[in-house]
Amino acid sequence: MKFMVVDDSMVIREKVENALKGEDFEIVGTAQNGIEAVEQFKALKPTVMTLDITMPLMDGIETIKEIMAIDSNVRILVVSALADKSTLIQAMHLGAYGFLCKPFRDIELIEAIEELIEDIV
Amino acid sequence: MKEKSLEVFVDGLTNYFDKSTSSLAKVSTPFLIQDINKYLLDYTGIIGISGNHKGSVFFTAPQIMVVKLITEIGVMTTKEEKLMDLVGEVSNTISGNARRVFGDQFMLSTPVVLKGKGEQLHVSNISSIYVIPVVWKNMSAQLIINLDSV
Repeated sequence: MKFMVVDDSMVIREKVENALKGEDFEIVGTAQNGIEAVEQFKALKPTVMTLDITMPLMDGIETIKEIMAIDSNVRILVVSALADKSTLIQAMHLGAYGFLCKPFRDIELIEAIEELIEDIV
Repeated sequence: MKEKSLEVFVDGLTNYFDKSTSSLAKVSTPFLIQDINKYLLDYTGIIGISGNHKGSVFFTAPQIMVVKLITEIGVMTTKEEKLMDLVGEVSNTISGNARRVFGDQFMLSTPVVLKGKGEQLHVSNISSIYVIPVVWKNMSAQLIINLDSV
């Protein structure tokens, strides 16, 4: 399954990639802001992605809108430190499938992704 | 900022080390300071806050601690750009978690990271500056809060 990781922190991108080693995913792309994410999404067409909210140039909320307009079947797990309910509700309303609050343990990430894709595997 | 409001940062700091590493950190009672520059360590991540509060949140740590922390997170490197990225991410995470209490009008900038003490930092002398000390694996760092509610 094609997977994309979007976060402005290179450490978090690497943490997510490492956590997914051994799982049934092919990391096809990583991006550090929403603009890169949308460009890569068009070219790589991942099935699943993790997406940060607070990013430079284009934030995660705007990115969800643009990506859902391209392909609303993508499964987006928002991985963000923003722990307020309204950000969660806004992301889910726009089409995100799940929300994982930073900081997170690897097992929490894997469980959240498994839940995200349970009906398509 | 009221001292009661510091609890969310104490909790955020404790939670960060709990979730990101294999050993708990000891977070001590916050205290007031006058000059932030005396408390800056090797790497400092800064988040600017706007909206219903204004000011900054700083996470500052010695290099040895940042190297150990990044290793525990599973990223095997001593590259400076990744160490700087990590302290920015720590400050961003703890600040973002504070929206649980302060709501979505607690607006965060993307992180700015300083290496060393460099130029003198000038922060608001109207709002109080609190230091929240943390000890993890016998290494000391601090979260510094300089915020006013609007």
